[in-house]
Amino acid sequence: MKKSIQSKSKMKHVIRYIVVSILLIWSLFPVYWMLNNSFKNRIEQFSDTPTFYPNQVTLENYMTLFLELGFHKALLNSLLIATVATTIAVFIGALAAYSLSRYRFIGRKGLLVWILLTRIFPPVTFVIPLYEMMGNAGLLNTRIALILAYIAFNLPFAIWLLIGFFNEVPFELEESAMIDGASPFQTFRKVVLPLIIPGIGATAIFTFITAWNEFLYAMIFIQSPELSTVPVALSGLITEYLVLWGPMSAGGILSAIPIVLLVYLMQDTFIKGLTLGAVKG
Amino acid sequence: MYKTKRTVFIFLILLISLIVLTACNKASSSSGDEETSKEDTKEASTEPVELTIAARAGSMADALTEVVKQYEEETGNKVNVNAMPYDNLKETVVLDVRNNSGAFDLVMIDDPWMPEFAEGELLTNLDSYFPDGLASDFVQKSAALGKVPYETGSTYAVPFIGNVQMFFYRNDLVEKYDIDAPQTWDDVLAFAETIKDEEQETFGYALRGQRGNPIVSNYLPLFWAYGGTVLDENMKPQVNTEAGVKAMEMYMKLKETGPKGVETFDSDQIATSLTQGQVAMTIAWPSWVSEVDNKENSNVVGKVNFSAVPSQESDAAAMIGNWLLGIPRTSQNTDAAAAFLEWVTSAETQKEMTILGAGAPTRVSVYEDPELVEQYRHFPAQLEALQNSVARPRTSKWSQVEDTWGMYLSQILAGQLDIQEGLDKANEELEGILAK
Amino acid sequence: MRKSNTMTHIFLLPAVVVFLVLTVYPLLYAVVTSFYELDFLKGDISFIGLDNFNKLFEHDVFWISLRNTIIFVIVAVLMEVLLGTALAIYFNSGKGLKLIRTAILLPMLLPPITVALTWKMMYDYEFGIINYLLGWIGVAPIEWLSSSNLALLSIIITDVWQWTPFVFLIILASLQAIPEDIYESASVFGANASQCLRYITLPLLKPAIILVLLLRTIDTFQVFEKMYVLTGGGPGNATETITFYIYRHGFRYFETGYATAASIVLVLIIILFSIFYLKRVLKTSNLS
Repeated sequence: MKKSIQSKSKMKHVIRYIVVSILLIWSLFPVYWMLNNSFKNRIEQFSDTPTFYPNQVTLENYMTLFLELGFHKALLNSLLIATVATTIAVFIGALAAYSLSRYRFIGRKGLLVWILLTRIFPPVTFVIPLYEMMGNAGLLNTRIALILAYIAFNLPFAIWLLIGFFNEVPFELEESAMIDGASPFQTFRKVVLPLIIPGIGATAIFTFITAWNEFLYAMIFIQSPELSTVPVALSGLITEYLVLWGPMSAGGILSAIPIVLLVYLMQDTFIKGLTLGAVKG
Repeated sequence: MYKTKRTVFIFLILLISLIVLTACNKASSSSGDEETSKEDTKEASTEPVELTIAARAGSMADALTEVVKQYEEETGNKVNVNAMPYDNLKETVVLDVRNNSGAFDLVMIDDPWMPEFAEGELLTNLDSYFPDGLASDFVQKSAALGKVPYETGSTYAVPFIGNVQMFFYRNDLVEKYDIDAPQTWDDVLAFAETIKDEEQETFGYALRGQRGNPIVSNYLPLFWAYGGTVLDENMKPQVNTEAGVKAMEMYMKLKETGPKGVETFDSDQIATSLTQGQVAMTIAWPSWVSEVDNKENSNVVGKVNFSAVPSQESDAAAMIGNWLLGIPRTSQNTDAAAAFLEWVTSAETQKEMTILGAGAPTRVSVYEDPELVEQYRHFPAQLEALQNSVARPRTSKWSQVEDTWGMYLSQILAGQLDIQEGLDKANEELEGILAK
Repeated sequence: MRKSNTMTHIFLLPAVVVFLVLTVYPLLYAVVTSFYELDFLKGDISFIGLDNFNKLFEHDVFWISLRNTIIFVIVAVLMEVLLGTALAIYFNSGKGLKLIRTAILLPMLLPPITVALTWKMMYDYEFGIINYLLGWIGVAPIEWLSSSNLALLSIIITDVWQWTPFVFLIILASLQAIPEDIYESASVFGANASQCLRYITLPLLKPAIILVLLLRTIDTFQVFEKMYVLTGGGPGNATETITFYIYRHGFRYFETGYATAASIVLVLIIILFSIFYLKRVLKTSNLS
C-alpha cells in the first residue's frame, strides 16, 4: 500500500488536494461562521447578502459576555468541575477496568451489564431521583453535585474504553514481573500502568469533553449564577424575545478554546491511546 | 523510566486530592453560610438575608439585576438573580419546591402556569402580606392573574411584567399605499397581499409558526377575533368549531403573504424579520419595541406603529401574557421575600425597571407617567390593550393543552393535515387530556 | 484470566460504590415509577400497573416519534460510520493527515447549544448562508427546517457534521495499529490495493467498527438538543423524537410516571437495536 502511494500519479495528487479541501471546508466552515458572527452586530448577521468577514468589526459581543454575564466565572467553574470529574472518573475507571480486564470474580458479568445499562438510560430519566438524592445530601447548588453526576455518567464509558486498553497489554509481561517477585500491585503500577498512559489520556479527553459541554444537570443542580457552568451561561443568551446571536457565537468560540488547547497539546498521546485500545473494542 | 512515571503518577494523585479538597471546602463553606443566614432570619429579620430569584432570561432579568443593586444598598440584603430559558425555569422551580430544597425565595411565573402551580401548592399565600389586596394601581387584568382561583381568590403572585400582545405594522408603508391602519383581519390580509405584490423586499404578515407555545400564542388572537372559545364552561375543548376553522383559514392565507420558513419561526425570527424591514405586519409583545427603535439592531427605526390586535367577528382580543412574581412555599426567607416583592413591584421600582428596558409595567400610574410616555410612545396604546386583554384558559392542564393543540396547528400549517381534520383531531386529544 | 485477590477488590470498590450510590437508586426509581401514575408537580401518586405502557402504545404521537427516531438513528449512524471509516482509510497513508486530524476534531469540541444555533442560522431560508451559497450555483433556496420532508434530514446533517470526526478518530487509530508488515507480505503475494482493503484492513477494523456503531447508536437514540433548538420538534411532527417526547411529558407536563415508562421502552428499543454489538462487546471482554 505504501509503495502504491509513493508511485502516485499526478491525478491522485490532485484528487487528494480536492478531498482535503472539501473536508476542511465542510468541518471548518460552520466554526468559521460562528467566529465570523461573533465579530458582527445583529444587523450585519442578518443582512440580505451575507458577509464573509465582518464589514464592521465589533468587539461588543465579547464585552457583553465578560462584563455583563461574567463569562470568565463560568469558564473557571467549568474548568474546575470538568477537571475534577475527569480526574476522578478516569482514576476510578482505570482501577476497575484493570480488575475487569484481568480477573475473574463473582458478579463480574453483572457489573459489566450494569455498566452498559447505565450508559443506555437517557439522562433525562435520572433527573428527578438524582435531584432528590443531591437534595437529601445537601449538595444542591454546589459544584460537588455536578462533579458526582459527571463521574457517574462518564464512568461507564471510561471503564469501557480502558478495558480495551488493558486487554492490549500482553499477559506475559505481567507474568514475568510476577516471576521476578513483584506483588500484583507492583505489577499493576510499574508494568501495566505505564503502558496504558496514552489510553488514559484518550479516555480523559473524551470524559473532559462530555463534562465540559453537559447542560441538563448543570442547569438543574446549580441555582446560584456564581456557580454556573459555560453551557448554562450560554443558555441565558436565549432570551424571551431574541437569541443573542453575537454573544452566543463569541461564547461558543471561547468555550472551545480550552478543549482545543487540551486536545492539541495531548494530541500525540490521544491518538496513541486510541491506537492502543480501540481495536479490541 | 519507571521512576519518572511513578513521580507523574503520585503527582497526579496529589493534584486530584488537592483539587477535591479545595472544591469541597469552597462548596461546604458557602452552603454553611447559607445555613447560618437562614437561621438568623428566623430570630431577627433585621439581619441581612440572601434572596435568590428564579427569573426568565432576557431584558427583564437584566433590568432586575440592575435594580436590585439599589435594594442591596438600602437594606444590606443580598439578591441573586438566576436567569434561565423558559422551559428550564419551570422545571427548576418545580424540582426545587417539590423536593423542599428551598433554594429559591422568589420565582417568576408565566401566567398560564398559575393554575398548575396553585394546584400543586407550590406558592405561599400572600394575603397576610397584602391584607387589603394589591394596590388598585395595578392593572386589574394583571392582578387577577395572580389570584387563585382566577380573579376572585387569594393572592399568590404579584404581576411583575405586564405584557400584552399588540399589532405591529409599518406605518411608512401604510402611508405609502395611502390606506387606513388595518382594523380587522380582513384589512390585514388585504394590506398584506398588496405589500407582497407591490414591494420588492418586504413581505406582508409574519406569523410565529413554531410548534407548541409559539403557534398557539400567535393563533389565539385570530381564534378569539372569530369568536372562538378554547374551553367552554364545562371545561370541554371547542377548538374545532366554525370559529376555529375560519381563523385557521385566515391564518393559512396570511402565511402565504409572509416570508418562507414561518413554520419554524419563533420570536427571534419574528424580531429579525421585523427589524430587518422584511415584513410589514406581525403580532408581537411590546417589549420588542425597544428593539424596533434600537438603531444598532434595527433598520426600521421610527417606522413601526403599534395598535390593538385586529378584530373580526368579535371585538379585538389581545392576549395577556404577564410574568408574575411569587414566593415558593419552601422559601426560608418568606418575610424578606415579601418585603422585596412589595418593593420591586412598587411604582418607583417599576419606573426604574422600565427605563432600564424591562418593557412592560403592571401599574396604571407607571403607564401614565409623563416621562415614560415621552420615551415610550406606545404606552397609552399598550395600557389600553392590557386593560382589554383576555387571559388564556385557566386550567392546570394548560401546558399540555397548549403543546398538543400547537402540534396540530403546526401540522395544519405545514400541510400535513387538512384544517377540519387537524382541528377535529386536536379537539379529540384535548378532550382526553382534560378528562384526566 | 486470574482469580481475584484483595487488590482487585480494593480496585473495584470505588467504581462499585459510585454505581451503587449514584445509579442503582435512579434506575430502580425509573423502573418502579413506570408502574405508577405520578404527577410530580402536584405530588399525586397511584399504582396503575401497566396502564402507562398501554397509554403509550395507544398514543399516535409516540409511534411517530419512534419512527422519526429510528430513521434518524439508522441514517445518521450509517452515514457517520461509512463516511468516518472511508475517510480514515483514505487518510491513513499519505500527506495531510495531521492537518485533517486537528481540523476535523473541532465540531466535536464546541458546545452543543452553540453548534445547534449556528446551524439554525446557516439554515435560515432568507438570511442563511447555505441558501445564499446555493444561489451562486443557481440552486433555488431550500426550506431546510420548515419543510416537513427536509427538516429531519437537515438535523441529520448537523449530527453527521458533528460526530463523523469521532468515528474517523477511532477508526484511524485502529488502522494505525495494524502492523505495516502484514501489508508488505500481502503485496509480496501479489495482493492489490482493493484485495488488501477487503481481506486485511476491513476484517481487522471490525471490532473498532462495532464499537463505534454501538456508541453512536446509543447516543443518537438520545438526540434531543438539536431538535429542541433547530425546530422545536416541528413542523408538525416531523422532527419529534422519543427523547423529545419523554422530555415534554416529564418536564413540561410533569407526568413523571408516564415519561419514565416511555424511557423504559426507549431503553428496551436501544438494547434491541444494539443487542448484536452488545453481545460482541461483552464477549470480547470475556475472552481476554
